[in-house]
Amino acid sequence: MLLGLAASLAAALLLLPDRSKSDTIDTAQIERGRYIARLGDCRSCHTAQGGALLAGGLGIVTPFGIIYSANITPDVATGIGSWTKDDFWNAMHSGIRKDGAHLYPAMPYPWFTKMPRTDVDALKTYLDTIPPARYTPPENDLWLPLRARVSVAGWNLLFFDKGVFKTDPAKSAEWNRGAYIVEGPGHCGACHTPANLLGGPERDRLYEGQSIQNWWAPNLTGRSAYGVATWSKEDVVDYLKDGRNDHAVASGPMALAIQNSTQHMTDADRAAIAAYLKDPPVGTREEGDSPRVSEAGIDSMGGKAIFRDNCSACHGADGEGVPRLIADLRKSGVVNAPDPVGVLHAILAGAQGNVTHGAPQRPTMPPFAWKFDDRQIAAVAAYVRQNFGNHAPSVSDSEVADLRETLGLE
Amino acid sequence: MRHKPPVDAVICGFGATGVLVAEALTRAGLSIVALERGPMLNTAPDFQPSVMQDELRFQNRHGLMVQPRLSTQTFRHNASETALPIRRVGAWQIGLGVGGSAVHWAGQCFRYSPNEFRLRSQFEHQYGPGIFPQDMTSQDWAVTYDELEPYYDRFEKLLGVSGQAGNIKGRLIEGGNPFEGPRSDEYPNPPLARVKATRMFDKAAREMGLSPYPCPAAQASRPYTNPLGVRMGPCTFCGFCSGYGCGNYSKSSPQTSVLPVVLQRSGLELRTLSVATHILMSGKGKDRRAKGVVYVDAQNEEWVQPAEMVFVCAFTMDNVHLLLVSSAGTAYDPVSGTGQIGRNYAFQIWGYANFLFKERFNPFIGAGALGQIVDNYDCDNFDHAGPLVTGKPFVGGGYVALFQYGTPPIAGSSFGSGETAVWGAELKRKIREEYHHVQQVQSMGANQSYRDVFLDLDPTYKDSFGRPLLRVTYDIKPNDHRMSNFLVDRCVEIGRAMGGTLLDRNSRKGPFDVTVFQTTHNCGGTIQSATPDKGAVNKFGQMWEVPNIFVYGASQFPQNAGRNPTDTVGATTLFGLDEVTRRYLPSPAPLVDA
Amino acid sequence: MAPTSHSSPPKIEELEPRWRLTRRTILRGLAFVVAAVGLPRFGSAIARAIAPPTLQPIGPLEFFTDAEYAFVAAASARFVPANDTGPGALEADAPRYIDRKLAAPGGGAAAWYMDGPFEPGMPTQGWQVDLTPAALYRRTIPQMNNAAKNLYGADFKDLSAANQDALLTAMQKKELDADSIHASLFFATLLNDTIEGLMSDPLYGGNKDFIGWKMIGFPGVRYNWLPWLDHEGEPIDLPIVGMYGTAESYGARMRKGTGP
Repeated sequence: MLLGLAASLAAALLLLPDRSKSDTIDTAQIERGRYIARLGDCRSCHTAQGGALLAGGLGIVTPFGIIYSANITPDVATGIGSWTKDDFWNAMHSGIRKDGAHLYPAMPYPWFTKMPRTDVDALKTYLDTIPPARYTPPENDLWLPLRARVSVAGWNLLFFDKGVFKTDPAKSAEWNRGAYIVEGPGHCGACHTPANLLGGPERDRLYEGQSIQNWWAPNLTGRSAYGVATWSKEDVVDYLKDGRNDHAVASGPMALAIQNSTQHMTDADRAAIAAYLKDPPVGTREEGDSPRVSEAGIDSMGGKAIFRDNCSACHGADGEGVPRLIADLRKSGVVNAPDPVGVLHAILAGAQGNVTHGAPQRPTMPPFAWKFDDRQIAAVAAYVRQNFGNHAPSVSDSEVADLRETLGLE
Repeated sequence: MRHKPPVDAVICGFGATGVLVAEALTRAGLSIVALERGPMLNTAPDFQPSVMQDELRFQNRHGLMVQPRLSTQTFRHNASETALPIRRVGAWQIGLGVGGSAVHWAGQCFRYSPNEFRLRSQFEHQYGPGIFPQDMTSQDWAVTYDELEPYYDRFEKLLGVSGQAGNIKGRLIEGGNPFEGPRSDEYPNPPLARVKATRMFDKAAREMGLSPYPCPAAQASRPYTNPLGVRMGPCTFCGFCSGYGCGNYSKSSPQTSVLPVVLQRSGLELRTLSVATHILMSGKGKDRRAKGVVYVDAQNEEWVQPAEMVFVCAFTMDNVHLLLVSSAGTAYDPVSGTGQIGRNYAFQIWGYANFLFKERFNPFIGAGALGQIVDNYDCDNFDHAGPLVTGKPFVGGGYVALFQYGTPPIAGSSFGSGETAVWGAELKRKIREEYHHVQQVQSMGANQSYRDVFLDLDPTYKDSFGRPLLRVTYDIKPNDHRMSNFLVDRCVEIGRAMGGTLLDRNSRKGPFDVTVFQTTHNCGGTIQSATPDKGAVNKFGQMWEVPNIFVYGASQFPQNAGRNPTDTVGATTLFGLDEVTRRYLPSPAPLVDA
Repeated sequence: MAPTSHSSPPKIEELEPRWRLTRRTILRGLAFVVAAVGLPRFGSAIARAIAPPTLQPIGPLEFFTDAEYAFVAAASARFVPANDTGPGALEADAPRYIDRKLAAPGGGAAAWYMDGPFEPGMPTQGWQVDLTPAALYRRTIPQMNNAAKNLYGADFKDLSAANQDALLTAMQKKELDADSIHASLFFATLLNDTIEGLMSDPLYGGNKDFIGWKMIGFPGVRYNWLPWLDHEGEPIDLPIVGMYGTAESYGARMRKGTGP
């Protein structure tokens, strides 16, 4: 305890130049920074299970290997206690570490670059107040060609659009606030914007959804026929507040984002996000109906019977679910995704939602990998994706087999 | 023995009452440890549809129950016999794991009749003291219906009970139970839908001039959010209800009502797979106090958990057992009639009549509380000295009902036992022809308490922790046999009025058979009383002899009523806890002067 | 001794999938997906205490000797006989269910309280013999074959149906009980086990092709009967399903090996 305090003081002393304007700690600035840390959801990545707050060490799994998050506590030796606000600004705005090396874009600086200096400074002020943790995260475990951080420079050249968020005067203040959160600290596009072959965001397909961590981050745009597009602004606010609404229940990575970030936002900020998402930026495409397997084809696969016998007790005979407890499969963004990964993941391994102050229960779907073979799971997934008003492509046995193997399930 | 850091309170048993204690105490800001001998259980994935519908595993092999190898009792009919261990699960089924027996209960969530709480006064007043046999020790409760009413209401809202009110603040409502005590509010959900058999029962009973009403069901009839923000989905009548955990959040349990909130609260540490073996006691006389609880964890390590308060929240049998092995309170002595721990043990007098109908039912469809009831024969709702009662009047009564629980195939294929078990071509014929055409009209009868029916420690047999087993001395006495006969006669009348052909009738008489499942409505042993000479705890659940031990559950009941206990277990617990947080926490002392 | 009848559920970490290279991830790996989310915790591990049932194919006998099996098979054929109304308990493989039950650790009594002293007690006090069900079968079958030889001149399996019924009746009516012969207890156990084998889920080894459930008219273990609630009890036209689905899926998985 005393050691921690001493380290904290030492960290504070190192930051003296930045504090020279004031002898007292600016509590308003700290609180602002604390809130920005929530907006940016630092915690979900920078806190390992059982580890100290923001001490890093969480393995972030990418197809090219594992990147371990950094210690961003004010510990001088292992954290960012020795960083000045300029150093921190460089990292957040430009993706460059204090030592001059490039950050991997697993750290979402391509989004944080939108944050103005005042917000970034406030965040650093807050980070300097948390308990310092002496902890060095493991070395990254990456494929050889990527171990040289300089490889990121080329990536930045192609895909990194540096620059602070610019207000659109044609839009309301609320819309602009929402746009700022979504595109800046909230870094929604890190998951929800499809990545191109080199991992750069496809700027003309903003927020159209993609597969991420073997889940599906759905389309957030207003011009889809499914999911968020069918929600009201209140639905969006509800979802961000509790991780559930009358249509959907969060699971996978989004459940964590709600738990650690969006539930702590102000009502005004959640409303601003909804305002922005309901009045989307350019670059979205219409989703057309996918080719359907014929009714007889679906029946012959047996999906209808499997759904009736195994799924309908919770999701309802017509896929309607239970509002705020069990997902409505009709018009669901995940169900209607071009890639069935989200549906298959839930069926194979189960799914868990989040807990918030307003919704204390963690909605959970049990796994079915133990019961069904790949053919049966493909059949029921195809049935769900092509019934109840849904129009998504069918599912093949091999897609199920691959995901089963990826998830390490028998 | 190693010590854990002291806490304000330790809870022994994390089922129906334990979670309520944890909710109240964490709300009050206390630090508490809850000990549960079983594992953590969650709706998903533990009660998964596809895992739960396994009659063999969960009924015949008692997959969710405390197995005798872990804990059991010995049984004898009277003091002249040698009690022998109950070696496999039989007449009652005690739930194992977080949620306890409130995971596998049927969900029948009745209030007791107001007269039930003043049973002795009411029957003496109505029929004279002579109606009570010399050895009957049934007595008035310390608490009244009016005191409990707000807590019944709160418990029913926590559980999302589906029902039809019959009496709101004195105003009778058609379709509800006209005999019920005045309610302050409607049930939180409308009654469950009916099936052909319950409609037939309703019609027949109504035509007989009786007052049928839908069983108050802890199965949600629609999506529901309780006052703590916990959500339930609608019941789908899967038929794997009583004896099973519910897989779609529709049968209320601690998991769907209180647990999610409690587990988020700071101040609670839940230790599963941890068996509270005894309460650590100190002092003598009026200075007698609990100092904490000794428990054994899953690694077989013994720990002391020091605490300022001990809450005994296990099943009836285990509450009594824990107090007896800890010498907390004075053990009951049936010879002198003194001592409190173990007295007034009672069970439930369940009886039935089976009928064959020309109509076809789909008996696999059902829910544990999908039924129609009449209360015309409960408690003192009828004249026990009137023409309906032939022979000597008896104390007590019960409901008569038809339930469609969902009959699974093994149970639907077993007829009789021992020398009367049916087999051969006749068994095959019954399996093929009767399953879809049989309905049971049943009665849930009261069970009075007696001086020589009690719980104590067995002198011979020990459990796996070296403690003596609890010894159950129990039989069915003439008063209760007469009552059972009376109630089953009523079952027969209604079944015939429905158009059924009587196949068999089963009223209860001695000798009690511990091998045949009855109910899990065991009660008494640490009964509540107005004065210390009449029971173990005051009306707030606080022990008279040890004021920092609180005992919750049906072990508080001085005798059993003519219906299922859970609603009253919940209400008495909430009632007690309100007083504990209001008066005991600021100033720990006896809440009722001796 | 600490309680061992339950084991602690696996820790979340133990269940976590390791990231593995598969065809799918290689395909996806062409895109440098840099999502900074997706904690292992949300991968695919949800702790559970109640394990799903496992389905093990029927192979050679696991407990019975051939002679014991022959006795049990003959008895089950009398308990629920095949006749003009259809197949019976033997055809449903109820004896194979019993074989597997008795082969399990504890011989069918793993969860029972089996500490002594053992005293005869009364029937209303339940099982009081110092024998597991497995031991009861092993000891009593030869005793009953002896009785069959003494009374009718042959092993039980070789008696006429009428003589088999007569012997079973004598067992049930306690006429063969003696000091070390628990014939009536064995009768009750065998009858109970036969019904379990006829009517339990096929994953336990009996109820082959849902013979039992067809006999009684049980349509299987579905979880949502809401659409049939107002069905007025009319027959429900659905294929029978068990925990693992339809008869076809059991047939493929349960009976790969060779039976007796």
